[in-house]
Amino acid sequence: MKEWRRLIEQAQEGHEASREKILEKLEPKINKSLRQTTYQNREDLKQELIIKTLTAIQEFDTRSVPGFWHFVQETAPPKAARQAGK
Amino acid sequence: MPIDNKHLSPQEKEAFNRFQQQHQLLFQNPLIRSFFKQSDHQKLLTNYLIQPDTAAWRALDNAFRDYYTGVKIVHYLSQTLHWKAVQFDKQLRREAERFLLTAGEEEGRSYPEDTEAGEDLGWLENPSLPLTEKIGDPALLECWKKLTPRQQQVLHYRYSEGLSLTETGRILHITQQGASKIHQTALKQLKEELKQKGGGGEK
Repeated sequence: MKEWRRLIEQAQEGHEASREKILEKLEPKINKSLRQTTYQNREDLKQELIIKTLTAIQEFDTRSVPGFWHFVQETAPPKAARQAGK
Repeated sequence: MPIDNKHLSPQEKEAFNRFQQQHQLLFQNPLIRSFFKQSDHQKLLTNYLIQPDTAAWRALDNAFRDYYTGVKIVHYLSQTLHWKAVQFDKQLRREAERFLLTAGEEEGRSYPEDTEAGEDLGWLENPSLPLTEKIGDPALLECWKKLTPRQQQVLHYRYSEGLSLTETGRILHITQQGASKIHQTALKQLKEELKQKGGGGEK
């Protein structure tokens, strides 16, 4: 789980090895999805899925992922925090 | 079920448990629980609790962000790839039916749900998972958790996959009307919950 952020960011910058690594990690997923179609169509589907994967990676905004303290803050008991009308 | 932290030193364990005690709501979140299943992540938290400086604060925050990024993308791709494959096959069969006279009765054929996620990600496949790719707002996420798994599924197919209610219904083996009803109740519920939470955010 840990290396994903780095891999995604590098892939977005055009780092080929990171892209390959991502596809490698997702290969079981992709192969599994291939079972949805008949044998003779799997090669085509595989291409589609690879393209889909790379597009998704390209579009993923890693900066939008919140950090730990964000979660802590959001689940904190509602103290005086934003309690306006006392 | 408590988080296993027996490898921590007594001091660390105490700090960890106290933190957990003080943040019970936080520890109800499956994402947080899963994050702290790893001993090095527990360690990052205790490091901070014992010596709260910026470096420790940031180390934990970043480790979490790395973890969450992985979870998000893997979850998103699992769903997306599966769905894409289903669509692909459907399309081909539709074409085959059009061009060939006999496409064979393939009705009752069901698509097995993709359940083996590998690694320790079994929980990711749980339909009651509070993470949908698109929920970035923790307040909304809280409300989302209160929905029934069925409601979450409908909303997921509708908004994450962009399916119509008819398609959603087909996947869940219910009618379009059934899906529509679940969809409406879920949205209404979310709206009310959010309003109660303090009026913020108009979505």
